[in-house]
Amino acid sequence: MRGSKWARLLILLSVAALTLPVRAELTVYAWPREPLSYQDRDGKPKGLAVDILATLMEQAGEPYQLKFAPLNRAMQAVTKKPEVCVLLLERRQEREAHYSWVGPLLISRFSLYSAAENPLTVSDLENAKAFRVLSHMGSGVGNYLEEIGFNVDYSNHNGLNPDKLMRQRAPLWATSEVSAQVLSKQAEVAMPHEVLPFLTVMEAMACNVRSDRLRQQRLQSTLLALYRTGQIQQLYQRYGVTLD
Amino acid sequence: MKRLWAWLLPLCLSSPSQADVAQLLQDHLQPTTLTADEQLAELRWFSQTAQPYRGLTVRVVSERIATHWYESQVLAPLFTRLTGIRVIHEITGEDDVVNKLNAQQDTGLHLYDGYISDSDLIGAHFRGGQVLALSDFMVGDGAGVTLPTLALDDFIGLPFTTGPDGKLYQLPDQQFANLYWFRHDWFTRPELQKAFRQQYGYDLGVPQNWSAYEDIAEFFTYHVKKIDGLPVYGHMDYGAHDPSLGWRLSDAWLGMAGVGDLGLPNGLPVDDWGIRVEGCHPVGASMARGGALDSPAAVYALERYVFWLKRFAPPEAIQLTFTQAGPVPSQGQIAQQIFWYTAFTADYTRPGIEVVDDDGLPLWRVAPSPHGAYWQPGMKSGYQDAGSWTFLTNTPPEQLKAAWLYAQFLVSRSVSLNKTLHGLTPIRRSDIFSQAMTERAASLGGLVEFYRSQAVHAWTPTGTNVPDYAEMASLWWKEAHPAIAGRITAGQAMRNLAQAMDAHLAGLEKTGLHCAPKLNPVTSAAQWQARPGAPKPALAHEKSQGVTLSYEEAMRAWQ
Repeated sequence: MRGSKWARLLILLSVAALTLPVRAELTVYAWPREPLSYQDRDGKPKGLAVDILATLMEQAGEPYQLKFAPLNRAMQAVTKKPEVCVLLLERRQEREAHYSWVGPLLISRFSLYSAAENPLTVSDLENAKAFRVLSHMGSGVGNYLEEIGFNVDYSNHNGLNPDKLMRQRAPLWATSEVSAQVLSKQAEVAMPHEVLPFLTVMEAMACNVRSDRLRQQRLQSTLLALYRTGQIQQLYQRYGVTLD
Repeated sequence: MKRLWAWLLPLCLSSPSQADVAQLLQDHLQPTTLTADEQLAELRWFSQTAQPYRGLTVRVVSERIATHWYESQVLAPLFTRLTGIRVIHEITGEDDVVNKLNAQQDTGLHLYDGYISDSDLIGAHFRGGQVLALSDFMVGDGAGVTLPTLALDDFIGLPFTTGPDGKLYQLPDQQFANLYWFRHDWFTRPELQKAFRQQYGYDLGVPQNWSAYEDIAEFFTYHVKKIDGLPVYGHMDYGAHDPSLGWRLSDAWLGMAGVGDLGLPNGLPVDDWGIRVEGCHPVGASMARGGALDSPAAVYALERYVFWLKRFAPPEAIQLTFTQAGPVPSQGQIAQQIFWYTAFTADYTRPGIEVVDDDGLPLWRVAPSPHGAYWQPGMKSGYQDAGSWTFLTNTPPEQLKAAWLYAQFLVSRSVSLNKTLHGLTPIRRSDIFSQAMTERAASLGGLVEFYRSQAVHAWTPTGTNVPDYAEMASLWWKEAHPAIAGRITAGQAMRNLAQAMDAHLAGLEKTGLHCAPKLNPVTSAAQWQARPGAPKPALAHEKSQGVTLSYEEAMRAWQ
């Protein structure tokens, strides 16, 4: 019953989208973050977040351009023009006033992992502080761990960490389930051992604060309807993870 | 209660298989207000009752304060040893906790098995139908996993987590109040006392009204200027464009000014958000609809906040958020702060910091908050936060029961005194009046005296009139900040805020929500002001004569 209600809402939203007047097209800046958002060798956008965005925009009938830029440049671009967004940003309190948000667009479960051949046992974060932890530049979770007293080793990008973990550059790697799976496979190393789940991170599309309010509301309603009908969950399953 | 123990003791003490773990844990959970046998029996009850759930993993989330770190890092692993239930107790910002709670409700996803979330959301919880009514659960599906010795009547915060329908929706896990904080050592210096009396004509002491607070702020910032060679300020606050600015105002600031009506916990029929209620239906925030959010008292509240921030606080304060401003008084250059959360007590009593003496005793004290010009006896006096266990109805039943066991473990009498002494956020009357708290009282600057006094009933969270706290709380900082930035007046800001609140209530009116808003028609503000109570007409003189009491006199007023 609940599913059919949300399916009807999706249809209504799609019809409404077709009847709206033409407005400036959204430009969405993604930042390279395999396997969430990246370009393949042909420059084609790929990744779970890219797929979710495409489904959302298609359902909402919203034309958009997806561009790739480093995170800092993407964030600067968002502050300058009303119809610009960045994919994705963690919705933190200190950022709340600076953006108009559509989310949660990505929900990630973060854990500490050890190499498959070195299965560590740690009961809590306090005890885990004895170990050096791998993260990557721009990671909010790396900062979170550093703030509570961890010794964090930041790689240039997360794709380097499966190999570093295997070679024992550090005994632990802080990453999401989807990244652990996909990046380990790409690096041709065994899926690491999950030592300690510790944080769920919700990220959203962060748009210019002067963005069209009605469009933002429609994107938000469409996104929630996609969750209610299970379409977002299906996209996660393609990457080998579940949301519940 | 004695009857319960008589039943529980033989049952649980006769189980040798669980003896080792429960007994081992007892050493980690001292002190307690239970006898050794009672504690052992309670711990064994958890161990036995959890047997069907061994091997399950539950995920819960709470805000980043000392109490929850202790739970997450110390108590959760102990619970796992005792029960075999693995707990992932996440710690994050309070705003993130609320966003996640909303996300689970909005998306239908099962993100967490339990939340420790502020009781400020009670107005949404009892209306929305997505939050589990614990009072129903405890006698229904959850009866078999509800601790017989939970002793609900021992909790001081249940009035904050009970809906107008009489049902309990949340169970308090930690509580802290917002009190007046001041440098007791400076206030008792004879040369400063003499100078203050010469300047203002009355004694330097604990301010009883905002006029005295303002005089003391001016005294330290503009007349004393330096103490022991360092610049000092008579006031500390924050004003950055950030969600925490909203809490600075929505956490009972208007109630302290005297915006609402008489009556506890929040004022009836107009509460400390300036919202008028009829039955369980909010009917308006603006004066034109019978509310008081744009009333002279509300404008006065915002004006005083902005004026003091700009005139008496350190220059950087206006750019700071709650988190950034929180530690500043502990660095030794602030004489008083009207709006100080006792959740900071643990951080402000660390040996070696500027506001703790060589014997490890605080140089500061907390006292009842001074009142604004519109306040009258019988109105709420300040804010109290009750971070409380909250469960959603879409939680799978087995997960829910395992998470409920963890929640009860953290608030059980076996654990709560030990936890309270670490985090200093008491929830149980038995802990507050315990010998251990008596022994700690001198080092806590008045915290224990506050919780043992009658005043504790007059410091209350956001009430049930606010039907959508998550969205409505954000209106405060968005609408108030232009006044802080000097772009509009305080009066304009409060009019904008009242309009925005009314518009949001009107939107909710159409949703068919239980106890939904039913807005009054727009009439004249003067007509409402002519009636007794809120909204009140403007006072001719908002700055009355300053009144102070000695610390000892101020403490007696709490009894």
